Parts: sequence; structure tokens; C-alpha cells
Amino acid sequence: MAPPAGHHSPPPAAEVLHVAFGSQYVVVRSVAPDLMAELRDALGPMAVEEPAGSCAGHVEALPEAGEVRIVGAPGAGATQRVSRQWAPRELYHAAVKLLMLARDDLIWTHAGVAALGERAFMFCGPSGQGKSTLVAALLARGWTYFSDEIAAIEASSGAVHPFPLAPRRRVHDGDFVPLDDGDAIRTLRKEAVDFPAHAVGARPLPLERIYFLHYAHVAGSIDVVPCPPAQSVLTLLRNSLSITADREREIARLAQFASRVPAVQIRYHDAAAAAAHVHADVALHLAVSPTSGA
Amino acid sequence: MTSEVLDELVAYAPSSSQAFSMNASARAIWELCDGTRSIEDLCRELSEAAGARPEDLRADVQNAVDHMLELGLLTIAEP
Repeated sequence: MAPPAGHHSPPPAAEVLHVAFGSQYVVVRSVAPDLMAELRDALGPMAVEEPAGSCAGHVEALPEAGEVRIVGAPGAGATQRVSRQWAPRELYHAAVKLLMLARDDLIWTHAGVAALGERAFMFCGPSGQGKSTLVAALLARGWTYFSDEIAAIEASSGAVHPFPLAPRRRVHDGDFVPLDDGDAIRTLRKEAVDFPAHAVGARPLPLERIYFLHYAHVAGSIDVVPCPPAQSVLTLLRNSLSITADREREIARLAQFASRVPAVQIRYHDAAAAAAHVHADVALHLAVSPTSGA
Repeated sequence: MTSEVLDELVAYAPSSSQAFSMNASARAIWELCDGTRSIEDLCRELSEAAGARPEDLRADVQNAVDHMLELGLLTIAEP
């Protein structure tokens, strides 16, 4: 039945999502439920109904003539227009950037983080080096999930905050892909990683060690060597996600952080074997140097 | 601009937006390069800390200085 002439349907109600990080949150709003559903899937445990703390910003997605107008994304002027396909990703990035800006006192690094007991371990490297796959394998071994691609770290204490966007690992469907080619790896499909809700980190933990990941395209033994601290600073700088334009300040913060937290380089071919190696190594390390009070 | 990382150093050149890491040995050489010392002076002073003869350090020190010159971390002082 058609509405009577002159009748205007009420505009659809906007759906609201809150992206929470510690005491900050970002409000995302859209009248497109399918778009919001995709975004909620990508945000995972960071999407909450009842946020607490202070608001770091608002982002709105307005579907218009086959495109989506995004209002409130940092650094993009007042608005930006994207295709429907890319809208959830743009919203996701906008919300993450607003949280990064709100907490620019933290070091933001492209890294996965997982914890065993009361100690956190960071797995740092560019896309395609196996961060998500390694973290997923550690979760399967009972580790606590902090992040699979963004680490938020306090330079002064070396503590890392949970930033538990929904973990996703790349899936190899059988076609030949040169696994030492980052661009080719980025074309691989990603799938969600299942993990129990109670396995998500709830508070910052001290970061015990950094693993810099190097994918070896020839199968072989796993090679772990200490990383000199100054070299660690440079590698962290290459993987920095911090929005600050002040390079000198960022280096000083990374130097402070790298002075506190030792780093190793791990070269591996098989992520499951690397996870087994890391798990055994960390379990031994924690048994030898247990957390105070543990 | 430099930042200490334990006994190592990170040097940053704003003009080229490049950062360099130096291990403890490279740092010791770089810090002695104050425009007044020759390679022989560097070897002599470093040999005391390293417990080695200055002539045994000559090749490594020269290589390190050459590399730092190449990277722009040092310049030749005008006499």
C-alpha cells in the first residue's frame, strides 16, 4: 500500500555505536544498519553499549546517492565521501584516530599484543609478517588478547593498554602467493578469530618483551636473537602509528620505552611453530622471573 | 638531536628526517669526534677503555668514522 500523496516517511532512526578505550570513547552514528553491523564486527570488544569516561569525538556516516558522506573524521576536513564498500573501514579508521589523538601521550605502534599471566608481550612488524596469525595461535594456547594490530603503550612505565579490535588473520586459499611479498600478502582474505570473551585484557599490563617479526620464506628452524636497544628504537619508529608530527619527541619517547623493555628478533616460517616456541620461551622466562606477588 | 638508549644512542637529523642507531662502540667513537681529535687520538683514547693497543683499533675506528661521514653523522672540521 502506497502512502498518501504528500506524505513523507519519517527519516530512519540513526543507530549509535560507542568505541571505547580506557576512559575515552568515540561516538559513531549512522542510519545505515548494514554499515553499522560491519563496523561492529570490525570493532569487536571495543564496541560497547554504555560507554564510560569522556567523549573523544563524534563520527557520522550519511548514505547519499550510492556513496557515504563521513563527517567528523580527523584530518579529512569537514567531510569526506567514500564508496559504500570502503565506508566501514573509513569509519573504523576515523574512530581509532580520534582515540589516538585523545591519548597522544601514548606510543601507538603497529603491533599485536598478548599476555600470559600478568605480563604482556608485543609482536611488532609491518603487514604480512604474521602478527595476527601469531597472536591467534597464542590465544589458542590460553593467552589473553590485547590487540592484533595496534599497541598503545605508556613510554614511562612500559605498560601496554588493551586495544582489542576484533582479531582477524589472513587466510591462504591455495593460490600461490609469495609470502615474502607484503603487497601480495595484503590481498589475502581475512577471517575472524574466535576467542572467549573472558580472554580479553581488561587493564594495562607491564610489557615484558618485544618480538620483532621477520617472515622467512624458506622453511627452517626458528631463529631468535637479541635486538640492540637503539636498533629497537628505529624499528619501533618504522612501525609507529603515532599521529604526532614531532619526530624528535617520538624518538625520545621510544628511547625511553626501549630502555625499559628488551627486544628480540624472531625469524620464522610457520606461525604455529613460532607460537609454540614463544609460548615455551615465555613460560620458562616467567617461571624463572615470576611477577611479584604472583 | 640524540636520545640515549641504555649505553647506545639514536641520532636524528631533522634536515633529512633520518634516524640512525649507534651501538656502544659507535657511540663512543662519535662522542669523541669533537672537531679537535685525529683518528690517532681516537684510537689512543679508545684503547684505554678497550684494553687494546691503539694500532689494533685503527682499522675499525677508520671504518666507523668513514661510515659516519657517509651517513652525514660527522663532517670534516676545517683546519
